[in-house]
Amino acid sequence: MHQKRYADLPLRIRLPLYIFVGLSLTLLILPLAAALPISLNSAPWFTYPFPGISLRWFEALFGSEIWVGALLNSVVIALATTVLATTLGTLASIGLVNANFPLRRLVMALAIAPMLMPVVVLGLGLFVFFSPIGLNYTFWGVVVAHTLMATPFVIITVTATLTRFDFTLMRAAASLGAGKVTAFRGVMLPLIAPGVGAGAVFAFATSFDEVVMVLFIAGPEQRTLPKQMFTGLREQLDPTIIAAAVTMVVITSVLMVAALAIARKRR
Amino acid sequence: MLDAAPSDHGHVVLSAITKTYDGRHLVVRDLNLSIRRGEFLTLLGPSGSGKTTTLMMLAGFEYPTTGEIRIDGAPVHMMPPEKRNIGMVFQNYALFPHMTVAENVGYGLKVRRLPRAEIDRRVRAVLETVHLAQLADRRPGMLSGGQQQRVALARALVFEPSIVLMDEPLGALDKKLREHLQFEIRQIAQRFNLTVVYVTHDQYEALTMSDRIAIFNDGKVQQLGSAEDIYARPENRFVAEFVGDNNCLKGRVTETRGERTTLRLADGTQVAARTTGHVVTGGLSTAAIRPEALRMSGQPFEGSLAAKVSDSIFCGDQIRTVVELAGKESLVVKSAAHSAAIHPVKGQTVHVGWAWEDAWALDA
Repeated sequence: MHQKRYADLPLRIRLPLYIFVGLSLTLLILPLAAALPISLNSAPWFTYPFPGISLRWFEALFGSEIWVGALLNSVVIALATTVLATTLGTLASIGLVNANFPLRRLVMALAIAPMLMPVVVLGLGLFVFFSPIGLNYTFWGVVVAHTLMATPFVIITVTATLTRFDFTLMRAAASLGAGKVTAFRGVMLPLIAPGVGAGAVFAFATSFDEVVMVLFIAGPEQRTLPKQMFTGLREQLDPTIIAAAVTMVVITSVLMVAALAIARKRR
Repeated sequence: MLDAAPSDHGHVVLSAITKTYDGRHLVVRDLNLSIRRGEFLTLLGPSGSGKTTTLMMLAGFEYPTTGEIRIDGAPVHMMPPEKRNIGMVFQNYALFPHMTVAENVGYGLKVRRLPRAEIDRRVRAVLETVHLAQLADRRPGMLSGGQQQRVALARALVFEPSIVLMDEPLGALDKKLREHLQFEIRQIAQRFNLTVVYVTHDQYEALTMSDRIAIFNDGKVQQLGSAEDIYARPENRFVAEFVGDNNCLKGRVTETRGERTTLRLADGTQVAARTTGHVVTGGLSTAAIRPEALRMSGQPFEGSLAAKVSDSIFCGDQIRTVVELAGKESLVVKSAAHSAAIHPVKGQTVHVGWAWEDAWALDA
């Protein structure tokens, strides 16, 4: 087995490629690289150079009831969203990979649609839809809204895994006396766990940094971290907001690493 | 012809089964089959003949469009597979890749909520039966095809079903291993008095393993009988041509005298064969004669036809000679290689003939 490798290409081809990739990655990371260090600024300004290094903004962040409350809200809403979206998305995927599913393409397109829809439109729509049924300004309203946005990610990752799943295994389990639910738990779920896990991580991340839906639907009780940052920008502009940003980036990065580790387990 | 009226007391009885997927094309049509307890029944036929669909209906993965399936008198055709208590060996084994061999085999007991110690004991016992005890902790991915096949067999047997279905279980294995496992499966089936329904398209597998064979074609059972019945007494032309080699000579029935029917071939040659239900005087019929029933000689003999040798193939234990009759029909003659009688040469004129009792006058 001989595979072509980058190292085999002549340098005059490789060098421009390296430069192009390097530039692209720099452009992606530069804004973060410029902003995040400000969280360590000892002075309350957004300017370089710093007079000194300090953790005062992190202290301010974790010492503030509002900020900590927002962080906790975000985590709880994201966890509830993850559970709901992963369950619904996985079940939907099992149906949607069945070639006999009626109107499969249409249903699939509709299930994925929230991912492509402008969030403002979705948010407005849900706000109008939620008001007569009293879901606006409630915890579950926000969770439902986020689940709507997060489920497509689960559907995409789980259907991708399921297309490689051998459904004869479910028949084998049935022939051995396992009912549908037993067979799902013992045979299918362990084998599609990487896809489900990756979907769950995406679902969490989707909810965790979502702000538009929250602006429409959440009340003061559901103030999430992104929303607090959004209001913080206008009300009291100091590097606490950057410290919050760092916290978010750390949590999201940990999740990304987790997703990568799960993906690697996919063989 | 087909046994099993719906009232028949077989262990497994399929009556008046039809199956269609699209509402127009029948995959199985009016199937009646009665399977005896402890019987090794093989469903043999070309792909698309309905044999696999029939097996799937027995397993519960497909439901019959009409008709019913009874096991020991109880209707099961609408029961989901997990309630039927029927073991199944799948074509590609369908072993659970995330479980060890022991976990795979024990799965059927685990879902039946047997105690841990009981599961261990029975798994060990069945693994010993299939000579795999030393591989209990391996994953299926680390096993050879033959070993995976044994695991699949052990898994289907461990919960002691009285009926085991096998869907071309040896299809993916090489010839030597296949022959060995055919023998082993047969032994195990006898030892545990299993009722086995075995699907294959390999006729030699069917002939060597089965108590009875059901030949499928076009959604119908063409013939049901022992290997010997099927081979020596084909009921129609499809069976005659599908099982083993047969020489078929098409002609018009000129005379039927009791057991003996005479056909006139296109060029006027008269040949004789056994009368069957297909024979109508004046109608068309096909005489089927096994290559080994043909006699070939350098000299004309009673009832012989002159023929020209067009090819002669040495096959070790036998010689297969292809000859052409006056009417351009070609016949294959099998003769023992050690026979001193005749060593045909291409282009030589020979005389071939057969005892009329060895030929069957079937449908055209």
